[in-house]
Amino acid sequence: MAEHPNAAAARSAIEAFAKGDVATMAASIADDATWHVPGSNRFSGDFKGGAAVLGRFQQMGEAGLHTSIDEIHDIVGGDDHVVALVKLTITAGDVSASAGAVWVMHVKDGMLHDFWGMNDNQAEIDRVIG
Amino acid sequence: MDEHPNVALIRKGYAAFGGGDMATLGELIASDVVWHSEGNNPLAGDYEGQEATFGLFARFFELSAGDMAQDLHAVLADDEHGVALLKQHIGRPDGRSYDGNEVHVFHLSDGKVTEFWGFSSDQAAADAVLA
Repeated sequence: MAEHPNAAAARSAIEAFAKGDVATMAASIADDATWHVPGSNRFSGDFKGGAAVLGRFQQMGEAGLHTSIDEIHDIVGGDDHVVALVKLTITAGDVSASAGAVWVMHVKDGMLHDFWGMNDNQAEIDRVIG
Repeated sequence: MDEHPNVALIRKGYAAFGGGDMATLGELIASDVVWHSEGNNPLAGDYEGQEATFGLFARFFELSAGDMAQDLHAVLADDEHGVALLKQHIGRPDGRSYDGNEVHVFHLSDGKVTEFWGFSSDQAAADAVLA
């Protein structure tokens, strides 16, 4: 079966993020987006509005934190939701933490609205981000 | 867009789990399945094979004395993966309970589940109830 159009939209945004193409990623995030970021670090919490979501990415960069997408394992889409299975590494200076993550997104008309992240190595990620 | 046929397989699995229908689960779960039970609790770990996985299910039923429910919010699938978004409830006879949003990821092959990973939005709460 062909990839669901919502999965294709999310894939385009995630591939842009992986390449550091902020403009393309930003164009996929809806103005009313809310990002629910897991963990107990300084960049955890709920970020409401596209500006707040993009501001968080920018602030992480300014704080010297780099997120690399090591693998986009699969992106599974339905009419309301998309779930991306990714492997990622967060690096801060000479320390890093890798995790398998699931990203759940509400996708409508090609735009990302709500995002919830979960991963299998939260404690280490919290330690690296601080 | 039409729903992927693997969506029905995943839904059938949750209905069987909720009804304790191990015969149906036996048809849906591969004999060499690997089941990753997340967290830091006595049930966490990797269970290899259907028998070990069913042993894990039995422990969940025992610990909760049957007070366990899964409310499916959405099920997604493609040719290789099924994903369930659900609210998971686990109660213990001593009054502890866990209600969390979970994402369950299934690797599928030839109409059977070959690997499972579960993610909770509040793993610490799940760990506290399963401790």
